[in-house]
This record gives sequence, structure tokens and C-alpha cells, in this order.
Amino acid sequence: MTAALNSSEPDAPDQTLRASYLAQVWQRFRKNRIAVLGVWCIGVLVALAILAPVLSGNQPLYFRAQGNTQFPFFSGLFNRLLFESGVDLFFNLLLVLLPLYALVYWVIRRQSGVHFHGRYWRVLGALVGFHCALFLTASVEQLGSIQNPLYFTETVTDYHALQAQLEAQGHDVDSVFPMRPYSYRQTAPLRGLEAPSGDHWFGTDSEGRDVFARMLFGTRISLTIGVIAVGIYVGIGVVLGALAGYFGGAVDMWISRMIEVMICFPSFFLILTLAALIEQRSIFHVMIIIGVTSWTGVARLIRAEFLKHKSLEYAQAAIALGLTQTRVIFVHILPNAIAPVLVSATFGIASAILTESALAFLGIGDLTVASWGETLNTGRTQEKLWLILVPGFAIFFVVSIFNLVGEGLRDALDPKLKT
Amino acid sequence: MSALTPPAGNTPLLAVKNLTKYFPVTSGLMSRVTGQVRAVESVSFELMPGETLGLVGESGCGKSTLGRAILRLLEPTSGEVRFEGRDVLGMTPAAMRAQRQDMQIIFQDPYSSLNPRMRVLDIVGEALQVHRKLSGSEQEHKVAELLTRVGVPTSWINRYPHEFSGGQRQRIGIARALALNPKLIVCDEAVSALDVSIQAQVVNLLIDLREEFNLAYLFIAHDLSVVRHISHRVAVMYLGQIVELSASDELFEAPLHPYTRALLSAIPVADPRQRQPRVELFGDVPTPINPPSGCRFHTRCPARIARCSEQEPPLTTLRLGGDAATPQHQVKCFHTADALDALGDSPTREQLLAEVERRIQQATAHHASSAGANLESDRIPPAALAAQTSAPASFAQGRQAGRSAHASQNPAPSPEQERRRARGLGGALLAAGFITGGLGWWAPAPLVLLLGYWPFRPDLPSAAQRRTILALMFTCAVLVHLAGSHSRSVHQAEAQFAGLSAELESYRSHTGALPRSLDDLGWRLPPILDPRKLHDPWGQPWRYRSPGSDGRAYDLGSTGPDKKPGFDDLGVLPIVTPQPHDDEVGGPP
Amino acid sequence: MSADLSPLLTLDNLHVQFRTDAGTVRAVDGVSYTVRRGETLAIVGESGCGKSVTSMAILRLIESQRGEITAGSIVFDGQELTTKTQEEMRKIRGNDIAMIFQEPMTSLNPVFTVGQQITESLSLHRGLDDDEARAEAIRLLELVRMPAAAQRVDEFPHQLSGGMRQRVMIAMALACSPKLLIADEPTTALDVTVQAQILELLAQLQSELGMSVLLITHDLGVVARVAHRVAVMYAGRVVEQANVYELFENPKHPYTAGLFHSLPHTVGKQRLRPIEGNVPDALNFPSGCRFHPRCALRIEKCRTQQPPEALFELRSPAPGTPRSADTHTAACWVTQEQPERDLLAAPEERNA
Repeated sequence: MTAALNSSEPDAPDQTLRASYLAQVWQRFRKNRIAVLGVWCIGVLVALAILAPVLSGNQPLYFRAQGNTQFPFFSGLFNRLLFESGVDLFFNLLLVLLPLYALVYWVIRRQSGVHFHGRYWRVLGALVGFHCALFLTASVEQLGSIQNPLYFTETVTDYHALQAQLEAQGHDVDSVFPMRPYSYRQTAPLRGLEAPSGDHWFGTDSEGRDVFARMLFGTRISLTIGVIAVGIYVGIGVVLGALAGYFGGAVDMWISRMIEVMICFPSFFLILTLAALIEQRSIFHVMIIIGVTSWTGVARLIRAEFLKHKSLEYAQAAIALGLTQTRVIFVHILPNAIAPVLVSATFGIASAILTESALAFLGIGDLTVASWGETLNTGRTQEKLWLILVPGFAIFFVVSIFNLVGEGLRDALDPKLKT
Repeated sequence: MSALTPPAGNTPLLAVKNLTKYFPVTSGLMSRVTGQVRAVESVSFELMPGETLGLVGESGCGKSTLGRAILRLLEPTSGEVRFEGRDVLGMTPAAMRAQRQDMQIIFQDPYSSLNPRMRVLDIVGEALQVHRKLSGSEQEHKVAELLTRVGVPTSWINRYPHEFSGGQRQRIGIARALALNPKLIVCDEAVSALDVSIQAQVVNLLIDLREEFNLAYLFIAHDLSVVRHISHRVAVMYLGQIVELSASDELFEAPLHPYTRALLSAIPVADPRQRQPRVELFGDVPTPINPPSGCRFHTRCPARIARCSEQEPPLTTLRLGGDAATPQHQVKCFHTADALDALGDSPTREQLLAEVERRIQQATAHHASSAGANLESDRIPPAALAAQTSAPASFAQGRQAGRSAHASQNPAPSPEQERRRARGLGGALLAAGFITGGLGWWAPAPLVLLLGYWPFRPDLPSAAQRRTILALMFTCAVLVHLAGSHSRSVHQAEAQFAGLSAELESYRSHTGALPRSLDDLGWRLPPILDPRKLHDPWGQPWRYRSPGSDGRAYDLGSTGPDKKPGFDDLGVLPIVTPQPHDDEVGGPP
Repeated sequence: MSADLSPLLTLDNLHVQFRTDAGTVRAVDGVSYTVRRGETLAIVGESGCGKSVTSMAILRLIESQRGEITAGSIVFDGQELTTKTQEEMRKIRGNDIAMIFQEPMTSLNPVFTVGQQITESLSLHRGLDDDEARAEAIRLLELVRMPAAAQRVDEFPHQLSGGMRQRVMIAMALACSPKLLIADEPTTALDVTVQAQILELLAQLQSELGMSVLLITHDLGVVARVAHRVAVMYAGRVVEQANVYELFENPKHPYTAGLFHSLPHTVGKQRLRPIEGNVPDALNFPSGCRFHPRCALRIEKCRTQQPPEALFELRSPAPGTPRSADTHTAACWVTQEQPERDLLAAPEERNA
């Protein structure tokens, strides 16, 4: 990003001074070493989330026996019996397509040369949009009358057992497994509650599932929960807060009363109640519940910002120029009002992760996914130290990181622009 | 100079009639209106094309509000604004947006008046893009032209506002206002925030632009010398009303209203030898929430007479003999009205001035003899304070009540005491909640916590609402508890049952008999089993056929590479049936 | 003006720097001036010229704003202030040197009564008990012509109007009878009618109490009304110093003259003659004379060499001041070469 910023048009006489708002924010953000470290940690977490199946899984990347070669790992990535949750589907798609995306990005950047920094967000947005569209398509079983080629439900073979059996029968078997040969969902009741060892790095839970694998895949859940829940509530909050702040009067009164009524409820109890009322809870239900119950803070923030910015002279000038209200709200005021929401969203990610863990801890989460809170809950009921320490530390670590980044962002956004 | 002579013309560009703007003062939950800030009241004037009308007054006199109400940046309460004969206030939003091309505004603060996220090109060119539908290069060309006109280097077209100095920003603001070729520009303190040297540059620019494009300015400022320099006519406002309006030089040389006189004498003149006479004008402008009765200036006026506090003086237009060519001169003061009455029809200017001067001096002398009367006027009325800010005002009222009746002790507990008591109870309940929870007695813990949390809630509206919310929270807590315990026990039972039946089935299939007890299975029951095992594709249905000759074998779970057999004593090996589609890999030898 | 004209505050070659992310800002660069006992010295300049920073440096308040005094001396009443510790400075601040600020709305603490705030510094520096302090507070409020002082002393700042708040600020500043009052744009936020009242009050108080006033302002009208002597600052340096009559009638620096040309005239509506260009950026001031890029009279020497402050012949002596104490200095190469040149009269003359 910095490279793109530093290189501006060679014919422009004043290239050193040209810095957009975002570039300035980034300059200030970079000064906060801890926050930058936090950004790196988030990067590592994202990498772990994407690479989780490569790091731990029981489908071999390569399996050769009796003259036949198979690559069960890759077809397994889209097998709904192996990866049931939509979250896993999203990340597995990303794992497969990431090299392609990187290539597209690189080619566009090369072609647009020094002009690229203006298109940075557009290219990134297009790629994210494409991926989300692909993910939504892949979630549908039938595309019209055609079976979706990305939708598998094939019976799963236990390749470890197969290999053992074949070797016992004297066959020559050649296989490459992921780094740790355990799936996060594979139960082994006979090996339940094993302490950490070289085999199971973080031990096993009460049903013999490998905790290391569950921690890895739990990263996916936590990050997704954070981003989507916060996305939902920022969306709701921004729209309602903008309406209330910009139009004022009766609109403001009703929205403000709505916010006050929502705030009256202790939000965690509200989330618990809603979660308990849904019978077949998926992780997306949890995200939506967190999203629709937590928007009040953002709405109030945006409302206050809009009240302030609406009366500022640049907004008045925009109205005086005869621009439409939509344009004034979204093109002029919103980009100036959004900064505090960005900060609060970063903290919101941390708190959403915490809320999901708490729900899972109380047994009201999605039971089909590997959630850190659920492992923690097992540790509590089973009174096993590693089942408490490992997920507990993971939650603490991620929440702290997002808080550190949030603080850095707040400091970077806070000082008034140099005049 | 051409700046001196107001342009001739008969049809006014802008005609404002009885324009009034009240801001409601609201309080309470449902925003009940408890008062009105009477910011602008019954203001009328006309503005010719190419003319500049200066609007001066102290802060809070409503001059900025007036400017914005004319542009409908604030919706006026009542009155009429006609632009080239068209009724501006009756326009639909779409018609208004089109109309705005002709009427623009330049703001005071060069820092907040430009959107910090937009480049100069977009700031100046956005209106062109929206109204004129210009293409990118046309727009850039036009913006460059405008920037050149206002004296900003065009090579900086892609810069952001923060890279410019205050004066340059103000020039950009002017370029933005000029983009659509307006006929009227409201300059709302357009030069007030600038340094002296820069201010002079911008004033010169505004004068040049006025002559070049035949612009009409409504020039709002508190700096009287700049207003005098740029304006053809000047209106003086006090507490929402125009008290005097006349040609610029006439107003500054021969002010008739006592407020105008006070204002002019208060301007510090940049000449150390000229020490102005003191004007006995005390205190600050009263609040416009409850403006004084009668003449609004009477509380501070050194020349007030008894009528001033009872009657509102009329806005008198001077009927001066002889010169009909001079623009009309309006004054809202009894002294002028009386002088006109006393002098009869068509007095000369000199006669009138002398008569007004005499009357003012007389009244001032009368007041100087009764000294100390000024002090009262210095006070802000407590009622006005109460309307301004609710919480501190009630505090202030409480203080005043306490001062008047020193020892009237109130036996009833104050809301503060009640609140404190409720908090004490709540704290105890919270502690109880944590203790019950900590002791593992989970069922009542949420309820107790809820009850304890209750008094800590910020600003609870009313008792009825409290009861409703409490009932809702209670229901929530019960639902959570029931749902949680129900689902947990169901899952647990189902999982244990499934595990056990699979186990039994395996045992039976292997040994041909049922176990006598669980010990025979060599298996401890998992405490809480995951119900997902019921439809787990992995174990489903936990039946593995052996390819070997002896028929069947089984394994309970699946395995790692070095997994030891689970039931050694039963002699079972972990064997998996190759599924139909796996036949080509590992069929029976 | 009092007869005693010994110097009370002397700044000698003061340099103040701020370290910012963008680089070192030399906000004050070699400023020297003297405030004598019982006189009002006005510091005039546009925004960013370093006039406020200088006053903060005198009170040693710039250390808390990432600034530092890098060179020069500040001698107040015979004591060197630059070497004092913050503890010693605390005894001087408010006691010997008091300050009033521009914003009367934010300078008062909203949760204390007016009386408490005046009393606070009294009991701190003088050790008065409650009743004495309250009586003293009322006396001070009466001194600043506060109407109904005995009642106002128990009121809160929000109950007062802007002008009355500024009076309270002045009362607080006067509480310990300071020898020097620094007034930093004391009337900028006030309306003209209130400004006139406050300026009059300041002038009266000064003659009554015989203190010195350092008035910082950008408004030449205010200067003309209350100042005895004036120092004009531009881009961190003092460019001209003289008594107020001399400066207004016979300016010897093109910048001072440019300021006068920029003011609208009271008679006639001649076109204004503003100073061209913009106030320089504090991060990279021009070389030589810092005014040279905007100066209509500049010569080649201005670009490269910094002009010294030279003495000029006095044409309009201040009444009641001995000639030895009444000097006129200006830092300009052009007027030093042509001391007879009348800058106020010369209109459109340009040297390349």
C-alpha cells in the first residue's frame, strides 16, 4: 500500500504533498508499533484460518495404493459430510482460489502502474464481491436442474484405517497427510480426554476429537463471527443512525426511542433468549442474533456524528449546491462520520467473538462447528486443565489483538487533520 | 468608484417579506416544545441585482439564521421569500434544487466548509457534474478556469483541502459558489476568520467578482469596517429584528438608532490619536428565547423612554424632503418616529438629524441622573436560563429557592436519596447473584443478577415503563433457563442413548449375547455426549463390515495411524469396509 | 503611564521549537522585546507568527506542549525564568505573572462557583481563610465592574454571559496583584460592544493598579485603543517595534505598512491594497528576510541575508516618555538604506 502511495504521477508537480485521508491515517497508524504488531497477528490468524485444512485433517493430500493415485483432500474440501458449515465452505473456497486472486490482483496492478493506488479499494472490493458470490452459489445444491458441481455429499473414507489395513495385507501404500492427521469433527470415544502429547498437541476433548484441530478451525468461526456480526450491526446502525441524525424531528424521535428501548435490555440476556428460541441453531443464526441486538451503539454514534456534521458548513454547502439528500448523506457526510464507527467496529469484533464463545460455553451455540467456547465448556464440565487453558488463551489473545488494533485505529483517526 | 453607486433597477432580485424563524426549545421524552428561540422575526428587505446588502449585528442577533433561512438551509417558520418574483418557500424539493443554482453561499470557517475527504476538483466540480451533466474533462477544464479566476494554482486541482492555507480554502469556497453562475451569493461571515492581509485579498476578489458577474451579495459580518467597504446598503440587526437599514455611508456617518450609534462607537479604530467617546452601553445581548418586551433594545438602551418597554416601535421609513433618489432609510426607534412627527412633512436630513440627536441626548441625560438602573439589565432572566439548559437551570432554581427560604427542610426523600437507596439494594442483589452463581446454583442466578442490575440502569423513564421492562426481563430469564436446561438434558440423554445402543449392538453382534452390565463393555459412559453423533457422517451408522472370512468386526471410533485397538480383550482390529466407490482401491485380496 | 520605566520583562534572542511529526517547527526564532513597568506592550501579528507561543514560553507552559526553549533568555523582575524549575515557576505563575485567555466559555470550570474559582488561587498563593477569601473575591469582582458582585460570587459560569465571564477571568488574574498581566486575544471571541467594555476595563485597571500588560492581538484597532508600545511579529520574528503613535504614523517595515493598507478605510472606498501571497508555512520559513516573498519592495539582499533590527529616527514621540526609552526599531534592508521613505504613502511602487 505504501509503495502505491509513494509513487504518484511523475508529471504532477506536488507529489510529496498529495496524501488522501486514508493514507494519512495509515501514516499515523504505523507509528503505533503495538497496533501494527496486532495487524500482523490478525494477518497470521487469517492465514491460519485459510490454511486450517492443510494443517490438520484426515484426508490425505495424496494417496497411492495398488497402482491407483487419489487426491482425496481436494475433493474433500467441498464435501458437505466433511465440512458441514458454510464458514468452512467459504474458507475452503478461498484456500483454493487465493492463488488465482493474487494473480488477478498482481496483473491489474502491473497494468495500471502508478495509477493503481486510486483503484486499490475497487480491485479489492471486486475480488471480495466475486468470492462472496461464488460462495453463495456454492451453497446451493441444485442450480436450476443441474447438480451444483461444488456441492458434494460423498461418503467419507477413513484413509488411516484403509492404509493400516492395506499395509497389514502387505500392500505398498504411499500417502501424504496434512500436518496433523486429525479432522476436527472426527470423534474417538475411546481416546477421550487425553492429555497433550506429541500425537495430540493440545490433547483431546471428551469425545476424543483433536483439540489442536478444533482450535484451528475455531479460528475460522471466530473471525467470521466477528466480521459478519459486526457487519450486520454496523449496517443497521449506520442506516438508522444516519436517518435519525440527518432528518431529525419525528424520525429522530422514533429511532431514538427504539434505541433506548433496545438499550434497556441487557444485551447478553436478549441474545441468550433469542438463541434459545431457535431450534436448529447454525453459526449464522448466532451471527445474525448478535448483529440485530448490538446495533444501538453504532446507531447512537452515527446519529451524534450526523447531528454534528449536518450543521457543519461543508454539508450546508452541499445542500446549498442543490444536491439530492441521498448524495449529501452518503457521499458527503457518511465518509466523514464513519471514522468513530470503524474504531467501535474493531472493538465490536472482539466483543462478538467473546459473545459467541460465551454462548457456546453456555451450550447455546452452534453444536456442529468447532467453537472455542464449546471446547472451554467441555473443559469446565470435565475439569481438564488443557481444555480450559488452550481455548481460554486463544480467546484472550484474539480479543486483545482486536482491542489493540482498535486502540491504534482510534489514535490514528482521532487527531484533527493537520491544518 | 463603481462600488459606491448601487446599481439601478426596478425589479428586485430578492424580496424578503416578514421572514420569521423560530427554533423550538424542546424537552422531555416526546420532545415537547417548551419555548421558542425567536431567532429572526418579521424581517423584510429587497435586494437588487448586483447590489450588496450588508447585514451586521452582534452574535446571536439572527443574521446568519436569516441568511440560511433565505436559502432554505433552515426552513423558515413564516414569511415570504421571492427570488426574481418566484416564491422560493413554496417550491417542491426538486424545483428548489434547481433554484439553488442561482443562489449560493460562502461560509465563515474555511476549515469546516470544505469536505476533507474530497479533492478540490470534486469540491468545486460536483455541482457542475450534477446540474450541468458535464463530462470528466469538461468538468476539469471548468474547475481549472474557476480556480484561476479566484487565484488558486490549477496544478493543485487534485489536492485535498487540508493542504491549503485558510485564505486559499476560502478562495476554493468562493470558486464552489461561483461554479453554477449564481445571481445571489450569501456571504456568511466570509472574511471574518481570515488574517488581516488575507482578508483584504478576499474582499478585493469579492468586489471584482461582483463587477464581473453582476452578483448580488447578502454580506453578513460583524466587522463593520469591512461591511462599510463592500456594501451599498447596510441593515443592522438586533435580537432577530432589523433596527436600521440605509445606504452604507449614510448609516455610518449619521446613525439614527441608539443601537447603531453604540455599535459604531464600539468599533476600535486603527488610529491611536482618535479615542472615541464612551457610550454607556452595558451588558450583553439578552437571550432571544424570551426577548424583552416592547423595543428589544430597551434593556440596554442609554436613551430609553417609558414607552420603549411597553410598545414595540414601528419600523419608520424616513420621508425626507428633496432627494428622492437616495435609497430609503428605515429606523425602528421611537425617537426617530417622534422626531418625524414633530417636524411634520418632508423635513431635511439635517433637521431630522438634529432633532433625533436632541431627543436622544435628552433621554440619556435623564437616565444618567438615575444611575445604577443599568445593573438590572445586565442580568439574564432566570426563566430564560431555565429554557436554555434544563439540568443546570433546575439546579440554579433550586439554589434560588434555597436562598429565598433558608431553612425550609423537606422531609420527603429526594430523588437522589431514593436512587441511592435503590442502588444499595441493587448492589446487594448483584452480589447475591454472583454468589449464587459462584456456588453453582445456576437456576436463580440470572434472575437475581437481573434484579440487581436493575437500579443501575441509566435514566429509567417512569414507573410503568420500569414494570414493563422488568416483566420482560423476567420472562427472558425464565425462557433462557428453561430452554437451556431443556435442550441440554435432551441432548445429553439422546447422545448417551445413541452411544449406548451402538455399543450394545456391537457387543451383541460380536458375542451373540447382551452384556450383563456396563462393565462388560469395558466402557465408561461419556458425561455429555454430542447429539451430533446421531447424524454424524463419520460414525453413521457405526457399523463396519469386515472383509475377512469371519464375517464381522467393528470399531467404535476412527483412528490415527498409531491407534491402538480399542477393545483388546475382544480381539477386534480396526477394519473399515471399503465403500462401493472405493472398490478399485482396496477390494478383498 | 507610570513614571518608573525600568524594564519588568526582558526577552533576549528567544528561540522556541516544537518537534512535530512533520519536522521541527521554529515557532519563535530570535525574539527580543522589553515590557517596562506600568506600560502596555501589544504584540501584533497574523495567525502562526509565534505571538502566542512567546507568551506561553514566558510562563514556561510550552514544555507541556512538546515545545522547548532552545536559546535566549527571559528575565522577569531580575530573575532568569528559562532556568527555573517547574516548581519555582508555579509560584510565579498566577502570583507575579497572570494570564487571561481568548475563550471565556472554556476557561472557567463549569462545576465551581465564580467565587470558588477566584478564591482558589487566592488561598493557594496568599493563604487566606474562607471568609477573607470570599470578601476578597467580592472586592475583585467589584474591581472589574461586575454588577451585583455579592450575588455573582455564588453563581456558576453558565449563569453568566460571555462578557461577564471575561470579567471573572480578569478578576481571577488580578487576584494576586500580578506585576505582569498577559492578555492573549482577550476580546477576540466577544462582540464589539462587549469588547469595548472589556478594553476600557483593562485600560482603567492598568492605570489604577500600575501593572504591566502584555497584550497579544491581531486587531490593529484594539492596539490603537489600549497599547503604549507595539511589537509587530511575522513568521517567528519581531519585525518592528515602536510606540503606538510612531508605529501607526511612521511604519518602517513593509509588513507593518501592508497591514495598514489591508484595513478598509473609514473615508472613501479605495481599493484595498493587501499583502500578496500567503502566510508562510512554519515548517519551512523563507530564507533571509522571512517577509521577502510577499514584499513589494524586496531587493536581492532580502533573499539571502536576515536584516538586523535597526534604530530609526523617531517622528512621533510618545507623550510623557523620555526619549531614551522611546525607540523605534525595524528589521528591513530597504528602509535601512532609505530611512526617509514613507511606506504609508507609496502605493504601487515595485522594485524587481
